[in-house]
Amino acid sequence: MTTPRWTVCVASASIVLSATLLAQRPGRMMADALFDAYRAQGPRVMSDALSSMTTGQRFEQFRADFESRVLPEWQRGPRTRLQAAFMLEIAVATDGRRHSYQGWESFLTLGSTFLSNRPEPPGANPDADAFEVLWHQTTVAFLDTLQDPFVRERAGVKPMAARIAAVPAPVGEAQVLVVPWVEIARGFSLELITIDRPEGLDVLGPDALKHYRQAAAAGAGEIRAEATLRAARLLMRMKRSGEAMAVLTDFDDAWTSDVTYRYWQHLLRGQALEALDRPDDAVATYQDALRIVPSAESARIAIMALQMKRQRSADVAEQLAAIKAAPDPVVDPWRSYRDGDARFFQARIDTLREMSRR
Amino acid sequence: MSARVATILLMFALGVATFAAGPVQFRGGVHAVELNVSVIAGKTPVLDLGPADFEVRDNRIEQQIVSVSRDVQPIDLTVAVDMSEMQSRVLIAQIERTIGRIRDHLKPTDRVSVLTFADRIRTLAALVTPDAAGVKLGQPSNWGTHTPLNDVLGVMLAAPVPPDRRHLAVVFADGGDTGSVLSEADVLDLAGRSRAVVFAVTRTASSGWEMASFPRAFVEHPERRPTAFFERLTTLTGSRVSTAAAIEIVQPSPGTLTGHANANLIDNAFTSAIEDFRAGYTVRYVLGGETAGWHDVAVTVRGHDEYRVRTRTGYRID
Repeated sequence: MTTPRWTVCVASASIVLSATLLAQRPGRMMADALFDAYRAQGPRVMSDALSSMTTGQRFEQFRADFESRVLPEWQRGPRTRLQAAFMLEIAVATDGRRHSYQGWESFLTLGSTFLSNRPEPPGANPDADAFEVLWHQTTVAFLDTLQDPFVRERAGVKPMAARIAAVPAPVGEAQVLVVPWVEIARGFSLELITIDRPEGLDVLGPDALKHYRQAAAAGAGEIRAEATLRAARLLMRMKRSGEAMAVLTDFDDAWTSDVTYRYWQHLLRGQALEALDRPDDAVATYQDALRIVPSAESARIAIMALQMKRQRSADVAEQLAAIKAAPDPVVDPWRSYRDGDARFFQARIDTLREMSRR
Repeated sequence: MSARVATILLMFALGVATFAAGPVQFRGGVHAVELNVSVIAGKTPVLDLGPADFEVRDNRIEQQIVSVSRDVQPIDLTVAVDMSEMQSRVLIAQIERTIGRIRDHLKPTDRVSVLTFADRIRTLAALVTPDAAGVKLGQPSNWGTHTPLNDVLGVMLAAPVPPDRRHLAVVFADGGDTGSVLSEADVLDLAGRSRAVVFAVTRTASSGWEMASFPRAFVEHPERRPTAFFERLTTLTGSRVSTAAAIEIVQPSPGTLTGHANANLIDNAFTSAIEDFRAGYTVRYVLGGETAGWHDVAVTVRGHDEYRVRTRTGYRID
């Protein structure tokens, strides 16, 4: 039996059409097709595409295609901010699937290298410098949402170590991007590895403290505020409460209007006073924190624990009742202390997206 | 027997002593101490012991036991459930079902409180009868991104419990703390001042948060695992950690092992906590003289070295 020629043509056309449609299904897009879709439709297409990949194997094919075919092409041509943003967006879109998408981190290290290998040196193009810094800040904020200190260090902090510094490089040395924030990021990576765990603090604590102090010395405003507070908290963890108290005494409310920092300052001061055996002052300071954020649980729990140690059961009961009765929404700025820059992620990526399309 | 000790015995008997946590302090520096003590032979609780059977050492000094009772005082049970985003939805549904059947394991005179913890600590039920303990855990408002484990443990340990009741605190957690103001050391300190017995239920290391998020640290430093803190806390208060295995290994025939998803992740762990606690004894003794500071406690059953005795390992008097 022979097959009519028109049947073969229709069948061939169907196969080509199916293959084309298949290739355009989000989960099967190759990297350049996804980039085109991202450029045309914005970031929503990224999460659709990545969530449709369903298997680590599919993602690995996508990653290999990007690295072997698309990225070399981009590196040969004029680099765009959208390309750098695209690499970060891929990593962000894998969130929640990070355990099965093994290669997701590489998009961050590739993006970092892609940005730092631009032709002009730091200082020559302030606009490009600002974008590169924001890209790294957004990356670190994203990694902080994952709460894995080792990935944070490996994919976020380490790639920018020689590229961004708190102060300008000495004359004659390679120029760097200057942002004191980088020292907070480096210090927090070290501290995060030991946070709430005593082991390792003796080794990593002094280094982390050095970074915080550098950030506080070189920075202003919120950077100085955050570096000062993190230094104080670390000093308390290192059982140096007197020094912590001195650092907190230097804190100036004029540095920041951010409620989170102002709350942290009072909570940490209360802890320092408690450690210095000044319980009445500690309770009063915790209550100052509650005046800033009345619904916060952490200051109430700190008072509760302190009063339990003092056998003041009526005060314990009062705090327990207040915790139980607090109406929604309960806002507790302390809960985000350990999240590093995570609370800034959405604002940063929104700005990055806007800058990348200018 | 001195008149003072006789008075204390009378107060024990009448249940009129008033204290929020830790040992009872009376005038003249005398402290009455109550210990929850469970005694196990193999896998079976030993239920027929009296005062003469126990040997109690407080700071290595043998104590005169005032009384021993079992299953007389009603229980205040507090259950706290981790609702952070790392927690499994399937697990939460199982915990919800288990709490819904809690009346099968409690008496009408017992009371139940249910807390959830994530971005806030939320009280879903407060000192209700076992019949009324059913709660909807999975509501969106209960979920959050943080795990203030130390803070919720602090809240449970600080909860006032009348002197004529016993307090069992059960925490379901999928990993370590994120976001607490209290440290692990703070929690252990509060546990030393509290009468609560803390029982922890967590997922096994191979299926839980701890191996996924901090592999290098936990491989090199197993003492940093969240389960290691649970071990310290539960041992201090006289209880234990139960790990709920996501995969259950069964041996259908000799030489054959089969693994399948454990459909009963929680029930066994939870009910065994309650049964262990209920089967335990309340052992009372009186301390005199200078008592302030930390007290190490050791309890044995005379003539039965083979019995496994579980009680708190110490407490603090301020």
